[in-house]
Amino acid sequence: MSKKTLIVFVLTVLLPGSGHLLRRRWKAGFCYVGLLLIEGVTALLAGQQGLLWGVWCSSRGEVVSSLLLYISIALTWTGALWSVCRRTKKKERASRGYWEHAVEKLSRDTKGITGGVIICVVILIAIFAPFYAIHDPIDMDFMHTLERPSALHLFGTDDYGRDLMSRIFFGSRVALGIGAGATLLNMVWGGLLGIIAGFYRNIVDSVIMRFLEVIGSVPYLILVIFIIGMFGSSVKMLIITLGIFGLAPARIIRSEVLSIRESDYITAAKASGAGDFYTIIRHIIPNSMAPLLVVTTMQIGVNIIIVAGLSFLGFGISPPTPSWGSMLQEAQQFIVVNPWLGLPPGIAIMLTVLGFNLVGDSLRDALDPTLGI
Amino acid sequence: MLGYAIRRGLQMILVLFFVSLLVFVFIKLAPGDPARLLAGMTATPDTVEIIRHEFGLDRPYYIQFARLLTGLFSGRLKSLTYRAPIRDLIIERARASIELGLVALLLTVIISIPFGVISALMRGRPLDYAISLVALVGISTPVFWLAIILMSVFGVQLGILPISGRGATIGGWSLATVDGVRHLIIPGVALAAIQLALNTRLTRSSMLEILNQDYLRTARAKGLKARIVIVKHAFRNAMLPVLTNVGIQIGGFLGGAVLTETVTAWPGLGRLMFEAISRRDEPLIIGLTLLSAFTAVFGYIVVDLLYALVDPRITYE
Repeated sequence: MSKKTLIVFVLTVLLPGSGHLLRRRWKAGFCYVGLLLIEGVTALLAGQQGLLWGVWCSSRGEVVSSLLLYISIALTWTGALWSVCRRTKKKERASRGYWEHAVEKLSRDTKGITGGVIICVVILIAIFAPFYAIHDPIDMDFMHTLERPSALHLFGTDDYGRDLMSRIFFGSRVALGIGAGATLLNMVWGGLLGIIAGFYRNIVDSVIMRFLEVIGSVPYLILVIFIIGMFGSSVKMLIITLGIFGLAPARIIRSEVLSIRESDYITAAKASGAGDFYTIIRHIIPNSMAPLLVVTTMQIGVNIIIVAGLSFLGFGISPPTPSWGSMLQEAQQFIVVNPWLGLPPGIAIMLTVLGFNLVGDSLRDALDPTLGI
Repeated sequence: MLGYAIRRGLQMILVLFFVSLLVFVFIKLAPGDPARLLAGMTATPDTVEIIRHEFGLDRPYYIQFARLLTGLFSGRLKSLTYRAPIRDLIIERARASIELGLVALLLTVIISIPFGVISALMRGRPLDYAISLVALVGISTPVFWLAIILMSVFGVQLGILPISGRGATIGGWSLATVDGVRHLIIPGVALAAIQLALNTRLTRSSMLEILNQDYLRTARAKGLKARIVIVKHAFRNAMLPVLTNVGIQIGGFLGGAVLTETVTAWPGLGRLMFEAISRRDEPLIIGLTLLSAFTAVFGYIVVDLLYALVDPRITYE
């Protein structure tokens, strides 16, 4: 081991990323240093509130958050060490695959990167909400209601004197959690329907398409409000309802599968005796991934807006759990007294959804520019 | 053409039947008893029983369903909470919603198409980026928040626009009076916003696709003026997907109207839907859901038929 390698190794142990910087691997170096900086600030904020040792105290949510913080710090360290010790010889290959090409295209697209950064920040806030939120999101303080932004309450307080910023931070959990959960269900259930309809055609296709037609004929928001309004709302109920009735992916996957089905490689697979299940798993699903990915990314945004809309109408998340939609409902009641109240939750929704739409747009450009979404 | 229209019409009836069946099943599956809800907390079991009998809620499900359907079409079916026939309620509220929908549609078409075309023609220039960014922000903005911001800025802070209600009407139309039009601005803009943004994006991408076609290169190569190439050859063809989207927008506007009308206290069908679900007014819910499904499916059919008129390549057998 040469002297320089040793220095790089020691430096990386002391501060992940510094070794990369010494080796002039700027991008990776700044990434690791940045990550560590974020984690450090998070840990500092947590320590200030006495939550850093959350494993031995306080509520379950805080325990999970602090565990995740430890894990992420450990991962940064080991990741940096691993990548700096690895041989950095670049492998040049004659041809590159579809996905590698797409990833390269993505990493150059400012739109996608901006969106990705927004999403990362929101996810970070959602995971470490108890650390970033200085006040308790449901702690009422009737001496300080409807205050305008100040140093103590950066976004002001609501009608119960609750800190708006803390509520925004905790609200991101509801938005992201339900948005991602429902979209995952959309993807699996809608993808399944689309693949079966597209692959088997004929009667199966007709039945599924008629089903989609009936569901799709009622405007999505009306359908969802109706079901949530009838059956009552809970996080589980919201995820299931949005997941089952958000059938936009099914149609797109179906048309994709219909065209893939006619390709020569499917005929070849069949000729060599591949069964339906094998063909679907091995050929149909990997080849219809691109549009599914694009639709899914955009669908998360749609679901976040729908959840906010439901909470706004009073059908969604019930108080006092902080959610962006119900915060806007409160803001509307005090529109004359304190117009500031409506700004932070709305901007939070808009930015988060914008992040997903930006990434979706850039994914579409990279994966399948002909997709008409 | 006529045969096609008739076939589509019959299909629509089938779809609507299944929609009403679906809604009915969901209502019956849902927990809670509408009769008890209507009677109030302090009602005796006897009162609840009387109400249940009055609205036929004690009959078997298939009879209830049949009565619902026949009642809807004969106009005798009454709302549980308003105690008035659903048909009258819908007609009374429909004007407000139609007005709002028209304003939103007009705003969408007038603004989105030119901006989409300009954006496509200026591809890669700052103006294109600006329009694309605004459109992307537009589809990311929740309508109800936009409405709140508009109300807060123009209604409360500047005090130049009324923040809720319909204002003065003539014959049930707000559009007929200046005051009514002023009341229409905020809900109209809010309702239009998302569709406006979507339509701009669609116009842009559709225009871009056409501009890359071979026949446009031919048209340019044979020395046609740029204006004629764009207007006659590109624009007309690019409008087909936009037409579809506008049709879907018209058909589905009741969905967006629920939020917009509830925020701005606009007494239209969207708000009625909100009230019906909050109060669990079963017949009214079914009636309104069917109406929204009807407009949506009808929108699709009209667009499909218009296609044949606009595009001579398309014929329906």
